[in-house]
Amino acid sequence: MMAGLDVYALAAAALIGLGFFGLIVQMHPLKRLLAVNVLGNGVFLALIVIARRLPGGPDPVPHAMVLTGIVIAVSATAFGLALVRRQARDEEGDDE
Amino acid sequence: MTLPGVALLLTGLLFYLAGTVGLLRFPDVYSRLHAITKADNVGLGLLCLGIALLSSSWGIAALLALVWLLAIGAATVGCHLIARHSLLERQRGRRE
Amino acid sequence: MIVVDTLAALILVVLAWRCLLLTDLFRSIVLFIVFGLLMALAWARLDAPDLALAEAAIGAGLLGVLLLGTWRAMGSPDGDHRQPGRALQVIAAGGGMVLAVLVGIALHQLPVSEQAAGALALERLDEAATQQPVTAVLLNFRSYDTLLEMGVLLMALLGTWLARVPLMESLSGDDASRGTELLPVALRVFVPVMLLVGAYLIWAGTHSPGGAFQGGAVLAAAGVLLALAGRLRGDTGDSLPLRMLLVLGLTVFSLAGLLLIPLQGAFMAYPPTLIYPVMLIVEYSLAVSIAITLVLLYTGSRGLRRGPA
Repeated sequence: MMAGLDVYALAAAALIGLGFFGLIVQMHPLKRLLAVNVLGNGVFLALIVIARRLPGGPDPVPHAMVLTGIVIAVSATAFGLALVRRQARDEEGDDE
Repeated sequence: MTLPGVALLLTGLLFYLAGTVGLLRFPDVYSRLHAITKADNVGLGLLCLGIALLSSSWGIAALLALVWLLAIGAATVGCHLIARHSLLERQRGRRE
Repeated sequence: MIVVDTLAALILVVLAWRCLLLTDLFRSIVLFIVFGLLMALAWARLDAPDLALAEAAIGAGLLGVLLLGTWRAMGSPDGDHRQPGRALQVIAAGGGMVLAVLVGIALHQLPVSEQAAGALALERLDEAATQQPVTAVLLNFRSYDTLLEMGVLLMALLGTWLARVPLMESLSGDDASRGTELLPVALRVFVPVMLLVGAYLIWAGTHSPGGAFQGGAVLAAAGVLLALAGRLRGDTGDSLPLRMLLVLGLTVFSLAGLLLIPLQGAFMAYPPTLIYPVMLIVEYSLAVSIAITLVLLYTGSRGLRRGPA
């Protein structure tokens, strides 16, 4: 652990900010899903940065949470992608 | 074993650098694939060899050899499929 | 090593920045895949090998295939050039920056607590019959969480089924993978290796980094590879065996918790003599369910059938 600044903590903060910005500014649904994922990864990174500070070794509880979180995030994204495809198909149907 | 190991690592990195420059500078899909698969496979091989020397353990060396073989196999198939896709696209474009 | 960490953190942020602000959708997705790979590297640097394993299989592998597949199923759109209003952009940029600064300050000023749940978990590791703290937390100390997360995974799959837009039907026009001699050979080499690695990772979870989530992800990747090569196809019909495998993890986990109540007097408390076999059985059933759920989330279909060899 270095004194003062923790680069991964800074990266986590930047990812959260970027994800938030992208989520609001982007119009394309796929881009919004990417933004949510970046935001999520920022949160995961923050949790692991906190876990590293436990004196007796990395705290396993945040590790377990992030591990399940990664799997849940991919399943939620898959669901989101299915909704995006459905929207695209319905819009196609309207055009014809 | 430290000196030859480090020398191998540095040479491996040089090959990676060459491959990346090729990927960025070459004009079309085929020459880019050529650059990245050839240079990176050799680079990875040198890295694995270097790490095996540094670890000075036969078990780790065997595992690294396996990693290298699998990576070469994956690179070969990936390269083949990308090149094939690109070729088929071009033929289709010519026919139309 | 501080240089490596600083570089990794910097590249992560730059990749996320480029990924979110490029108008070219394809490049955004590719950058996101690279971002996932770099996250795996960051996890390895942050003493989290479990997360590195899961991220490499899921964040960089499965998620990338899903995103690219959807991108192609939508007719390869090149992104949306509509811009939100100027005011909204300014507010979003300001909000994002304030959020980032606040999170940064909070992360640096957070006091280190000796009373963290993890300290307790590390202290009582012997009671979990495993020396791998993450596995102990997942399957023993906080098994309720894991059980409910399996439920969430299943809910996402149900949602995907309800949307009724299977990915595999819309991806039929790919002839690059057809008629090549190399692909069947590659499948014969890689699929058994991936299955072996997946099964090993699940077992390894009892004593070293690995476990149901990482192993399940590798098994799912093998399934997705078969689906990409056309060997596995989505099927519209329901199949009872497949559904049973989907709920296998939840069922075994809950049953193990319920059946052992008479012995220990509490839900999901395992007697010390049975803890290792119970954990192993639960891990393998969870991994099978996770793998099949992830493959079906990719195909988006109700069932699976064998494709032409």
